[in-house]
Amino acid sequence: MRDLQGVLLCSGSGSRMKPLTTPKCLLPVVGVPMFLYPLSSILRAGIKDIKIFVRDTNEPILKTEVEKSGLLKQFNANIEYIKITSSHDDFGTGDLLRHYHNRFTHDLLIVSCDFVSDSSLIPFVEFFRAYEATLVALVDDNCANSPAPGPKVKKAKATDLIAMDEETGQLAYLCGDDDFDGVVGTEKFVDKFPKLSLTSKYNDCHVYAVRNSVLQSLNKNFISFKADFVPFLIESQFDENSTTSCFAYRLPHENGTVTAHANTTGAYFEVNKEILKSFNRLMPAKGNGLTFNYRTDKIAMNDSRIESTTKVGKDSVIKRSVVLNTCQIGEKVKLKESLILNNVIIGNGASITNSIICDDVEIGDNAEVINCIVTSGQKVAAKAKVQNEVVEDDDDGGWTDD
Amino acid sequence: MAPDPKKPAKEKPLTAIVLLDSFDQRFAPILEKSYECFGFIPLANIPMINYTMNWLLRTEIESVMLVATGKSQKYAKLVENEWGSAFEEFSVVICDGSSSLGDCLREIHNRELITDNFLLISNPSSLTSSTLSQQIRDFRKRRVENADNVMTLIYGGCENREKSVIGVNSDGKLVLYPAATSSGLIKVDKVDFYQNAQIRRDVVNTGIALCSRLIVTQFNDNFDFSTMEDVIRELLSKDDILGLNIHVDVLPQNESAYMAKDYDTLLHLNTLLLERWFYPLTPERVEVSRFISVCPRNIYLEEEDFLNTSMSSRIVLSDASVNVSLGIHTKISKTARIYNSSIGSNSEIAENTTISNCIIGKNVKIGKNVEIFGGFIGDNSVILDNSKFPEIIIGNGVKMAEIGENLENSAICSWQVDEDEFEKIVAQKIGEELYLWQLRNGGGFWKISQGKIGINMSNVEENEEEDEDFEEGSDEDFDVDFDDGFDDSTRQFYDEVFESMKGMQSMANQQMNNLILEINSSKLACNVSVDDVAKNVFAAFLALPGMEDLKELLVLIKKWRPLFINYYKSSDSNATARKLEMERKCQIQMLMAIEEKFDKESANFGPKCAKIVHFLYNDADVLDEEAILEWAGSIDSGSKLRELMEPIVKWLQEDDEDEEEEED
Repeated sequence: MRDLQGVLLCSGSGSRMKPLTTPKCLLPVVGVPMFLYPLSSILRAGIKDIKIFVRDTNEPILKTEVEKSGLLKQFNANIEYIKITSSHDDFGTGDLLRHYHNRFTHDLLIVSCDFVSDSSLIPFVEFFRAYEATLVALVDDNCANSPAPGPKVKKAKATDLIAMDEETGQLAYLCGDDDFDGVVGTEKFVDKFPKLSLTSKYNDCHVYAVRNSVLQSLNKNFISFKADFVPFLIESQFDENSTTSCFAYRLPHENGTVTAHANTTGAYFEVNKEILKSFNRLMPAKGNGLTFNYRTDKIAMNDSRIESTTKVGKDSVIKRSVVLNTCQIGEKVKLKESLILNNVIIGNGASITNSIICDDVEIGDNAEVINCIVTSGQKVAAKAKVQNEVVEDDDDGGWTDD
Repeated sequence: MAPDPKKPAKEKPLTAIVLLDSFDQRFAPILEKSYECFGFIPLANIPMINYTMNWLLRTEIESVMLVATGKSQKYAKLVENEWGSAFEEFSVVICDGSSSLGDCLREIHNRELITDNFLLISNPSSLTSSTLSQQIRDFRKRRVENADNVMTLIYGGCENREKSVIGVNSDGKLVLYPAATSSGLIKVDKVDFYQNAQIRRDVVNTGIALCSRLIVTQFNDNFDFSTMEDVIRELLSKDDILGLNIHVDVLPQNESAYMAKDYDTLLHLNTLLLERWFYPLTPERVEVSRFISVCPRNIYLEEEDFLNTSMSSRIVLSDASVNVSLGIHTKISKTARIYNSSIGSNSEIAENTTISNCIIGKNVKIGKNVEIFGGFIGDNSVILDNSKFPEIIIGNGVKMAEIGENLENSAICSWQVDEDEFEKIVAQKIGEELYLWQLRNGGGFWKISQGKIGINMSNVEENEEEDEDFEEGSDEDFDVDFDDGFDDSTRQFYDEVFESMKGMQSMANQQMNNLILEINSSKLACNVSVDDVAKNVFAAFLALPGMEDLKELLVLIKKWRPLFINYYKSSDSNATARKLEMERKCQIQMLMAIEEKFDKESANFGPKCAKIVHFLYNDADVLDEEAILEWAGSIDSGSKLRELMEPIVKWLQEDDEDEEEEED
């Protein structure tokens, strides 16, 4: 049996994650650049040959981060960085795979940099081999997700629309909820699928195992892998004498406690808090962070992680939150369900609930922040109360998009 | 209100309404001058109604209402004499002049014979081995939970020969049902994914339905409804208005159920019975008053009296023969091979003949070296030596050999069809006392879905083409939709929209929202594409009475503007590019409707074309410049219409150029 090659896609800009800064792959999840999680997933699946697609400007950063993470000490693998120059900025995932297809010699395990999970990909790879599938997509019905802080927006009903055979997981149709246009005729499905289940409960995690042989059929029409090439492969199952077979691997709940497709602010926010359960196991090099003894420190901390370079004043209560490096948290501060990035100063008596506080923010004494995103470098005045807002410069200057 | 759940009153058993007739004219060749009544067609040499009554006896049913047309009156009496005493109540309802299930149920409603929930057997060939006790219990439970759960359709897991498709959600609620004109075609939308619908082709309708009284009312309210499918479609398409639910109950794997809808399924049903799929519903158990014995290989022999049964070895069948039912005094050659067939009394089959999947009547003579693979052969017919037929339907008293003609989609009878009675059938004389019967619409005699599927497929392909290459696709579509008269659904949609508009026109208070609702429900019911909707809405509008007068037409356009805005233009200023593209296509369809009308009546309509287009663009603001220009460019260069449109096109282009200059 031949091994798979891993492909990690780190060149996306994260357009769905405004107002968080890009690039997406470097956004910190509990202080660790996001892309290290999928990289760890690939390594844990025992894959030795890994290609990382990265923008040339970010390549040194990624290299140092991989070095820092210590993952390569734990797992033995060969990583090749494929640099994408700005002239190929507009390349979709399909374009990338086509353009560099001579680098791929084996079947591929393609993982997006926003796949943050503590599950094992080994059963997924075995499923791919056992069914001799052309394509297997990893889907999960329990993805970490929550509404993003900030103004209330109408929540999308679903992320992916899937039609499949309930028993085998063979796919007849897979489409992003946003991409769905108009009704679909089912006449071609019914011959192959006597009992076809339609569902919207699964989230396509953008983790695919795909046969090397079908990469030949990638052509200029396939800009995006998910939106163009996957539908093409699924569709080609219905051709006469087709040998193609596409499946969904439904991640069983016993395989992993946390899985997220962190391509939206909401999912990113939620996975920061969720992944804490398995953080030590996934990133052992990062240590434990701060711990407190309530009796002596008078600080109550639950289901949270605070990096050791941060200072916390007494009588503070911290619940289900993440606080990164070099922050100063005053006394009697309440942090709930929140994500505090680096260098944040929080005044005495402030209360922060269900919010994202970005780098270098100052929050005044007794301020109250509920369900907000406070962008880099902003100040929230003392005693101010902000709720359901994105706090940013009026001229949008504090934030830049790539 | 719902009864107190703590003390459930002992439910009264359901009444069964059993139809003795099938209203499908396809069966005319074998019923005319022969069995006359559908319920008396023999399956394994026993009239099918006997099976029906037999399985009803195994259920909780105590009261049966047998519904028959005037023609079958005497047969209904026969059934009453035989089975009346087996049930507590047995009544025969004669619906004279009925030509559909709808007619019968309307008649029953008018006579106020239904007072409660009931079990409907819309076709006497609906057989099941189940006692339906669980299904009836679930139906009652659903009725108590929600009075809007009005019907449960019983489906079985038999081979689905028609490839019919349904969509049910996780509660067993029916959510998708193919449109009238497209068997097997279901289109799914986002909402079907949200409610976890399942598209199932692995189950078939058994023709058994558990209904509330409301179902009968539906027939009464809609005089054009003739079949249960009509009601199902109505309830589904008006789900949001009526809020009535239909459920589908699929029988467990160990129970079988089936219904014959055409010859193909009728012969399949015969085979299933011979193979004892419906056990304990088997031929020798159903007909206890006759002397039928079963031999190995599922061979059923009937004797005149008890004494002879033990001597049934007088018939020696070839070892290859399996699943055969033989009537009294049949003479079968030892070298004949017979599979999955029943043969009526006094029939003879000569040497080296192969018969497979057939129902053969009484006194039939089949010669040597004949091969028949699937067929229904009426009483007293003669098949000459060496004939070979694939699927064949032969009426009563036909004498024939292989005639070299293609017998697909047809039946053979010895008499001319009475076209007054069977308006759907045409017949032509092909020999001495030989007439070839065919369906007037060219549809399948043997199989309902025959022929239809082909049309569907081509339509689908065309639609796809349209998506890719709009200009070409639409031109072709024109010919198909109207000139061929093939696409019934579009036609039907047009008619319905026309009627809705006419109704609206006559009203004092013209509420466009209501009209839009009506059109949308027609759209759902007929399952027509967006393009067809766009074209036909305006075509129907142009055909309204009074629209010959240009002034009146323009006034009405202005008045009904909300309607047109709804279908041709969105008020949304930040519509996406895709949306705009859709709109442009719809507007072009609107112009196509004008073009089509022009082609038909250029003399009257011609001069008005330009004015209407101008008005729609300038005053009503329904059409966009791009759509007009694109359409105008597509008109045949020789067409007079192009000439007529010339000024507008020029005017629009000049406008355009002006703007561009200004920008420069």
